[in-house]
Amino acid sequence: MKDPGGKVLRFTLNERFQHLALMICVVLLVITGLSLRFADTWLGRAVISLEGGIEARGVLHRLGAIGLILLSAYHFLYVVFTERGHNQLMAIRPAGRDFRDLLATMKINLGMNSAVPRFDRFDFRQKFQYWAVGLGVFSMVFTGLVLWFESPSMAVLPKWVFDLTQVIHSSEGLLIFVVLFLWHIYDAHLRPGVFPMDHTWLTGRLTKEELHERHPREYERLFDAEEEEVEK
Amino acid sequence: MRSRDTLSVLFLILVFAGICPAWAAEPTNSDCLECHGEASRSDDPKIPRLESQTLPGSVHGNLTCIECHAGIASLPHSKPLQRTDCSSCHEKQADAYRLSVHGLRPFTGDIERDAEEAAKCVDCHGTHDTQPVALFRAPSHRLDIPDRCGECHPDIATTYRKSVHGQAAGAGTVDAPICTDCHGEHTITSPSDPTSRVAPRNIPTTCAACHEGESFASKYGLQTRRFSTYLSSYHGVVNRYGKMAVANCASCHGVHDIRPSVDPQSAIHPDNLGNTCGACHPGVEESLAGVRIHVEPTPESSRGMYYVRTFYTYFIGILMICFVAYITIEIYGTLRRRRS
Repeated sequence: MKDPGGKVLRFTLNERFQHLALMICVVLLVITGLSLRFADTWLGRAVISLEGGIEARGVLHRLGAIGLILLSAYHFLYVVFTERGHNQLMAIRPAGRDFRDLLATMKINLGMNSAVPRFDRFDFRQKFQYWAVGLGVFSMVFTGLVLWFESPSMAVLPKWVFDLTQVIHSSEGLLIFVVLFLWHIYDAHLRPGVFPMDHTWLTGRLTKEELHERHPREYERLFDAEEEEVEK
Repeated sequence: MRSRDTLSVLFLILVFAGICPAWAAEPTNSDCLECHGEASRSDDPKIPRLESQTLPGSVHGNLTCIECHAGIASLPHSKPLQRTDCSSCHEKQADAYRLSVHGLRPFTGDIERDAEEAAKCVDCHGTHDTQPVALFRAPSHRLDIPDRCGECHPDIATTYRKSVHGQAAGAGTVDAPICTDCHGEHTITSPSDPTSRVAPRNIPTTCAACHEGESFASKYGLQTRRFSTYLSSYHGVVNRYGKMAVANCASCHGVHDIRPSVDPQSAIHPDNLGNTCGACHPGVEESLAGVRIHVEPTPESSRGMYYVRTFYTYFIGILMICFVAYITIEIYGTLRRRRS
């Protein structure tokens, strides 16, 4: 998808809204969730009082959960039933070359000899983040629903499964926090070349040069065929 | 000159201090005992009698009658007497008492009626035979306290005597919790008062005094860490914040009727546990019967929880190391490329 300004549209408005909604829900869930996990620390107490108390914290957390569940359902329908969504899903499938790309990137950074990896529409870092979020959301929604409806859950599940669900939900929340704040913030804001921020999540666009540099194989598919056509 | 002035003032004070009682002709204890003693000169049965050795044998043995029975200027005194006021000496205790559930009960000023009302100082401490606090708390007297409280709260005392705490107290276990250990003394307040030691929010701390540490556990074969394992549960976390209705110790274990889990009448006996939990969580009656609650997650007691926790600790740790390593290598590579 190209537009006349020499820029390439990578993410449609719909997709950018999905990312924005995910960001809002996850930040809300992480703040209200981790404040419960660390409720016995000064920071936990301070955050809970900002959230309006322990009861309001729970309400906010459940609101975030409803948002995330609706968004996940929408996203599922989007990647399964729309052509655009389906193509995106196919492009972000993990493949063996992603692991080789990771190794090549490391080798080059360390000054060892290696062929420069040539990324397609999504590079290994983007794929890792997408699937990490996917798995995280799936497990959090599932365990979260068990805890939300605790009485029916305990009636059906053995007590030890219910206890494990609590541990998993809480630990997974911490894991997601680490991935988001250590990795995603670095990747989208601090990485050399993108500081202070990669604007693609807002504009949805990359310049042709940026695309050529970061996703050469997609660039080739989009433009080389076109140039050939022009030459003919 | 100055020192002589001071001396003369002192002299005057001493003289007046010595003279005043005689001057005002205040009744002495023996004056009082003329009517109220064993050898009363009156045979009116309405006059209260006191054994002459009772007061000297009490902690107030060196007080005069009129220090408590104030307002008597000459004999025979008029009736009714002013109500005795312990607060003139025991100010702190009286202040605490006034805010307690007993102290807040309105007094009518009518001695006969007030006697029917809430417990006052003398109802617990006695009157002319008041003993020193150390003795009141001593092993020999400590275990009598449930009887004192039971005079006004007979049903609760009966329930308590059947409980594991009451049984221990009845068997003479000096450390067994008695009424005041949970409810406090002068500060006894209703459970609905948020400052009460038995308010829902404070109950866990109150029970923790005996059910957390090693000292009581090793002495009486109790389980330790009943408080911290509760605190790490959702019930415990929310209880600390004190707003929502969640289970505290008493919700499951009972209040005055606490019984050990092996007692078939206990709310936490394996056969009854499901119903106890079911009071708040309908539907769990069968699935929660016989499960173990607030267990410390050690490899022995709850393997699943222990291993999942350990897994996440390592997983998050290793992931962080990977991220930091990747970031370091990437920054190193960028700097190297820039230099060349």
